[in-house]
Amino acid sequence: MKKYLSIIFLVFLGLTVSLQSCKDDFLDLNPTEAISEADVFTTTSNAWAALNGVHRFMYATLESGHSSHAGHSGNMIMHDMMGEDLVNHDRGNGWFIGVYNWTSTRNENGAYTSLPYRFFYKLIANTNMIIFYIDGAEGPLAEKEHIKGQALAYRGWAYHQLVQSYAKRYDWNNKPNEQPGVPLVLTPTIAGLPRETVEKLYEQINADLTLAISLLEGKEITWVTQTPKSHLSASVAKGILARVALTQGDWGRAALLAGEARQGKTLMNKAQLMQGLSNSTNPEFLWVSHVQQEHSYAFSSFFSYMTWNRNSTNIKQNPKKICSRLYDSFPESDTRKQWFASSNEEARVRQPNTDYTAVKYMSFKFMAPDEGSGRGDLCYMRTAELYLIEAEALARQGQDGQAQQVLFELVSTRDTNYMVSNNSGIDLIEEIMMNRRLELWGEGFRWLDLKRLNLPLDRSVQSHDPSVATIFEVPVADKRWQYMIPRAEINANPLVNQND
Amino acid sequence: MKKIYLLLFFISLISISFLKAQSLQITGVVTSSEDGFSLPGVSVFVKGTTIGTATDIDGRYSLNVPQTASTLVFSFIGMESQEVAILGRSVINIKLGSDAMALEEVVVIAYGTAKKGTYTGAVSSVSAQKIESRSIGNIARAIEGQAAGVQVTSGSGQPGSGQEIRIRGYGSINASSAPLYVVDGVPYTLDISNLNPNDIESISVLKDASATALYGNKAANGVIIVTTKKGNKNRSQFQVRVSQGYSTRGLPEYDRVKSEDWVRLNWEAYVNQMHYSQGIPLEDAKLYASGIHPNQGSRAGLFTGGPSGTGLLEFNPFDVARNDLLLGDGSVNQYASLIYSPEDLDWQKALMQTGSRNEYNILYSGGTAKSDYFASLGYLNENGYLIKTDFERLSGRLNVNTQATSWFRTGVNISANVSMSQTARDQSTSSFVNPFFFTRNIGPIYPIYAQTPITGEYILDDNGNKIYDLGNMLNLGLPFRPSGAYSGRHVVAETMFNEGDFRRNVLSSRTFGEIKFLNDFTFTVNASMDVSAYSDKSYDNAIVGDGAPAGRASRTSTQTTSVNFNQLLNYARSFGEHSFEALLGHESYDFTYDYFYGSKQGVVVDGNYELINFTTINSLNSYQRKYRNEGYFTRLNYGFDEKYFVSGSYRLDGSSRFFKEERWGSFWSLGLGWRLDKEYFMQIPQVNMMMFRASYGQVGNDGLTSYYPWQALYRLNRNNANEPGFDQSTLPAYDLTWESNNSFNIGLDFGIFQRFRGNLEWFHRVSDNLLFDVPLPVSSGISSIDKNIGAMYNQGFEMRVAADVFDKTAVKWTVDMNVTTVKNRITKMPFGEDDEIIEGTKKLKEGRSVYDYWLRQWYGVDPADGLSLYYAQNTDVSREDIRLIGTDTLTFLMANAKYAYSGSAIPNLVGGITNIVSYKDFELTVLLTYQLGGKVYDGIYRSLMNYENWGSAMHADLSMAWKQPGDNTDVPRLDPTMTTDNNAISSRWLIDGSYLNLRSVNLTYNVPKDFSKKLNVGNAKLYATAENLFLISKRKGMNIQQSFAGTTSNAYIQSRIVTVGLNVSF
Repeated sequence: MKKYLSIIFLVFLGLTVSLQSCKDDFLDLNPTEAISEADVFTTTSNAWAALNGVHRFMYATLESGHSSHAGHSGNMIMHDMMGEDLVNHDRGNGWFIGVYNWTSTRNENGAYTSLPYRFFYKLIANTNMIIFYIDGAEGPLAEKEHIKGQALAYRGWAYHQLVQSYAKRYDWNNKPNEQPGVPLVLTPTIAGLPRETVEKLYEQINADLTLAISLLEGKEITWVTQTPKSHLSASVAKGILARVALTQGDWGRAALLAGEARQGKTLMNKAQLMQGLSNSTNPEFLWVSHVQQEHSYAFSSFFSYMTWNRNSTNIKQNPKKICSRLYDSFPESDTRKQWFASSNEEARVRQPNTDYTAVKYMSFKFMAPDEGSGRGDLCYMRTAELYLIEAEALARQGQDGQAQQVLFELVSTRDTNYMVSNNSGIDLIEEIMMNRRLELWGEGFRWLDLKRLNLPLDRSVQSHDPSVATIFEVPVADKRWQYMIPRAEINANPLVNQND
Repeated sequence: MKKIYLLLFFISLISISFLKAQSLQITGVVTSSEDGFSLPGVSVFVKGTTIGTATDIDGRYSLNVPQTASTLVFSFIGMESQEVAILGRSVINIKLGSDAMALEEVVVIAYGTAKKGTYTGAVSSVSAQKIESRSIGNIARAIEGQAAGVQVTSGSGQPGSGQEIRIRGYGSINASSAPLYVVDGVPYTLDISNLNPNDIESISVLKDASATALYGNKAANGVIIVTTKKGNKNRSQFQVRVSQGYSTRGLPEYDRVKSEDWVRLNWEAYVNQMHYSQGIPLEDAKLYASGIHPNQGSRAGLFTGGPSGTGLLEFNPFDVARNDLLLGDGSVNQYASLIYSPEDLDWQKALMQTGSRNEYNILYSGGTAKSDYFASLGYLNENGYLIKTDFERLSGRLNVNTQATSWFRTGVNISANVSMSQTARDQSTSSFVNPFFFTRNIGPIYPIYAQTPITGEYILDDNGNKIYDLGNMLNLGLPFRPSGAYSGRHVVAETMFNEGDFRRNVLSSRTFGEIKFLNDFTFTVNASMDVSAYSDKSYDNAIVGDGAPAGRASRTSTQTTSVNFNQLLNYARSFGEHSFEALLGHESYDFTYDYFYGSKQGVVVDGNYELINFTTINSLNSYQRKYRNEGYFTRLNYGFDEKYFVSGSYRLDGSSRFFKEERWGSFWSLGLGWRLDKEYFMQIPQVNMMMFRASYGQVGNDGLTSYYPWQALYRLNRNNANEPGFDQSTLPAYDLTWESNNSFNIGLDFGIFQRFRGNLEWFHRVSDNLLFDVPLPVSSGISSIDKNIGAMYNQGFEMRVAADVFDKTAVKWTVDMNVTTVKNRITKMPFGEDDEIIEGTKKLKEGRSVYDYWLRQWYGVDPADGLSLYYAQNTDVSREDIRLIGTDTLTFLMANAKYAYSGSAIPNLVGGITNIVSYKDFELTVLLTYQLGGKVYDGIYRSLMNYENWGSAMHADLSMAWKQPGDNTDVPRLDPTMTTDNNAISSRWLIDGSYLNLRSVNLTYNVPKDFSKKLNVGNAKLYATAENLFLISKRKGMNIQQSFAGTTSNAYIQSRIVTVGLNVSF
């Protein structure tokens, strides 16, 4: 009997020790590297974190293993690569060369079509969550408005970027623009939507940005010291809307908004111009990501392609040059010319190491604060652009005098010899555009400008090397002005049709 | 509640009162009928029960048997089993004769063992003997070619690495298709390379549901049960095993052209580019390319002009001036000779060494009447043939079991090991630090060391040492390498200067307590804990490559802890002709994964790559992931008259991966067995054994990579500078539940003519409710969501036949071969009939397999202008790209090429053939593995045929490229401008995947007994063994078995290992 008792004792011991698992919550587990969606929009302080996730998008890699796109910087590089003002000295290690030759954006399976598309739609999905849920969060109304305003501004900006790349240009002489744009997703959903017309998209972009401006008016970020300029202010939202007006040919609004947006904003002085445009404390930067060392992306960052001193194979072998025609058309007194090497004998072209390729016209505009990591603060909007938008929009309305004055305010900070322009009409517009090309070189504008103004690509009589550049001209009617829609979208969303 | 009922059931079972048992002791000696030697290790069982023991070193046994017992069964691998009636005797001595049929072996199955002739499931096993004779560091390598139904990859040449295994096809599309490893009764989630192959007693591969269903939740892709060795009672043994060997590369390189031919092909490419794409007259183009056109100007030639002034190829490898180098026909000036020696240009050789392999093991075991023990110590040190790759493992194991009281048995099995390894950076197929990528693709004129142009003298540093030519040493007066030759990168230097190694400390323990009561009941509690601490250090040097100029280091540290408990209640009893076994069990499993990663840059002093020696943090993170499951299960086996067998099982499983309401899944199986040979009508001498088996059952799969797939989450680590941030990462999937795997199996085991034995099986395995990673519209912002949607089946035949070709002569020869076929079909896609998912070279669609190629359809080369032609998608003849040849409408544009299915990567047949030939004291074992059919998409070959960037290597087949109108060839015009279209991913790169591999050869000499006795040792064995001796396939260099998907990539090619060894036991 004693034996059986001890058996039963042992059995119970075994069971109690090992059936501990049978508690009801044994199988209820939660991650430590993520938080439940249900907790995100409970309070405004959590919602701020969701908004910061969007800010972080601007400079984070979408997926590991692809070295061209750290956030928005890859899109910016693409927009210069596809223009005529940026010259690749060499094929380098191959990155962006297919973009430069307008083939990568026509490959529906390629990274250069899918990365921008995925980038903007992921950003939109995150802003949609905020816009949809923020009203239910606990917290002061002003904070909710502030968060929502930024989310709306981001969404408007993102759709504007998308429609410019993936659809035919907005033709203000031919309204309404019924050509297919991109799917217009405004709520959190996984249902695939068809491509909305370009006209409709612009309506929504305007609505989002207009609402954003009214929500952001008077709101200021005071509680952060390091990154206030990563947050979108009312004037940045106005600046974005001014860009939109420019692409819509609405010169009046463009001039008005750009003028309002630049109120109280500073321009760089000559010394600051030469500081490498990579520090968020630059007084001219209005919208900028402050990138910490820990958040930098070694070889996919802007600074690993567009600077002169970052230790990357791409830069060592393929320094980015300005086209000679643009460079040569400015006087020596213009400080901005010092952004580029006047000859390959210049002392600084031999820096930082003699094993870097050194050539005339190579750019010194952007400097990596840290040669070893690719770190740098990335600017998406600065004051000079607002002056240029205002000047261009005024000139295109025929308000030459005002345009000359705005242009003077900008250029005189770059060139002390500069006098108020005596150009007018077409010549004045041309002068403004040349300044825009020089001022914003490498910052992601040129291809978008060509497209919005319905200009062909013309790389002839410039310094493009035929062993690197395989195309020199693209007429305005060419289908290559539209990126292909990524195949992954069409595969999962049969309502979307491909660009021809 | 469920749990409480189960508990009550256990208790009620235990409290059933029963007659007091009476037992009787039987002892005896078992000897060999051939030579009269005693036979250790023979298993002695009471027929129809699990009561049994094994003979000691002198062949003695002692067994307590119940009074009801009537017959003892003696069995031993390789011997004919005998059944002996007890007839009241207390001493039973018997002689066993060798039996080539050997079908009565005991196999390890889920939660127990079974005799093969009574078991209804499909199992293949690999014995210790077969593992011992191989020089493998990872037991996953012991299975290739040995078991029907199993397909493997070639595995990496990295020392310590294993092979990927698929059992009976490809079970899932997005969830795991890998089998479950069970080590000593417990699921093993640590790296299988932790196990010392010398400790392994047997490996069983469980293939059908009848065999696997009891592992319900994890067994969907089959189970590999690994059992470690145990001591034998009254038989102490001490063994020393030593082996030494070397390793070399196991597959040759692709055929690539050498320097002068390469220059000529470059010239041809450049002439074609100028002539065909830029409209320059042919004669002019030739002169321009040679750099000798009267109007050359700044136009680039191969060795002159261009952006840098040094031409497209930049380096001049010859001892004449650039302008005098090339003649107008592309040939090199006859007075020119190469300034580099073959070694200067052999990047592969510069990274290779003769690898070594040293292994030492001490094993001892034994036991008393009540306890047994097994202990081992092992040390393995393997250096790969690639420099700075190695694997070192120190391992120890102790397995002690004791019969504490007449009714209580317990034991522990503890193993600990430390593995250290330097690893190759071959994870990314096209990364510059990947030695195989870089050395394969750099053009054959670029030297490893800096050498003065024209003279070829080495440029030396201040200490008189050679300098690596990094391909960008303008400061030494050397040119940049062109982009196709990776200027600024240098894989030899980077491999020498970088560091990458890991250390893994593992403690693995098992314990059990087993209570026998009421004669027929056994209650067992098993507990296990496996802990693995892994630390990976990596350093990117400050001189060249990704880490330059600051130098950076990272540390990945992970800890894996898995704890498993199970409780098993067994009941086994025979009544007359009936034998009955029941099992009830409960199991819980808790897995924790702790991850830490830190990376810093800015090296302080050289030679130390701990993070403390760096200045700035690049990244710093940690997290913990957990997974748990819990199951309740039962199995009932019934046998009648040793002829008819029925086995059924049921298991209820819960997984933490699924939402509360969906997490429980139930799985079951039913198996039938029929021993035909025991029927009176089959009592014919030609039939030694024949058993028919059939089974059907269902098992589950929750093997998603995500630990929390049902939850809607925002991921952390998305801070905006110092402001806290997170972003959307996954959507909710509340209805996500188990993928089920329903398999049907029929099998026939046979032994005939005293000479042939084996089995035939047919299986049909349906994967339903597939855990599908369903792609979402990109515009939704989320790339995919997991859903249970879709279905697929795998179906096939397996056959194993072993034959004793000669068994009564002095020379004995046994052939053991197996063949497997698998047919894989997707029967349901997430969005119905028309739904398709294109992934790389494959397209998933209903009616197709998971590995069916979907590629542009290549037609051939147009003899008129040497362009690649594809079947056209848009056949509008007014298009400029359309060409008509015969009745075919073709295009030279990749963008207009038509896609179509182009066969499959799945082979028609795979298998292995083992030959064992013995003569006197020699034994030769030869293992061949083979595959028939199945296509390989050879992306590596394509990269060598696709000349896009100046400076990269070329395959020898490019010399067959189209040269002039009228040429009939299948290699298009060599023309970098057209290479995207000419060499697009297409059906052109498919090649037959059939191969024959001499996988392993072993020659053993058993030192004769009388001689070994003089040396005072019991047994001694000398052997020589070789792995991967050769492979015959369609294309030299191609690694056919690299992946199940049939694609090739730049990875550590398998190694050829030759060793000699000595095993001595005392």
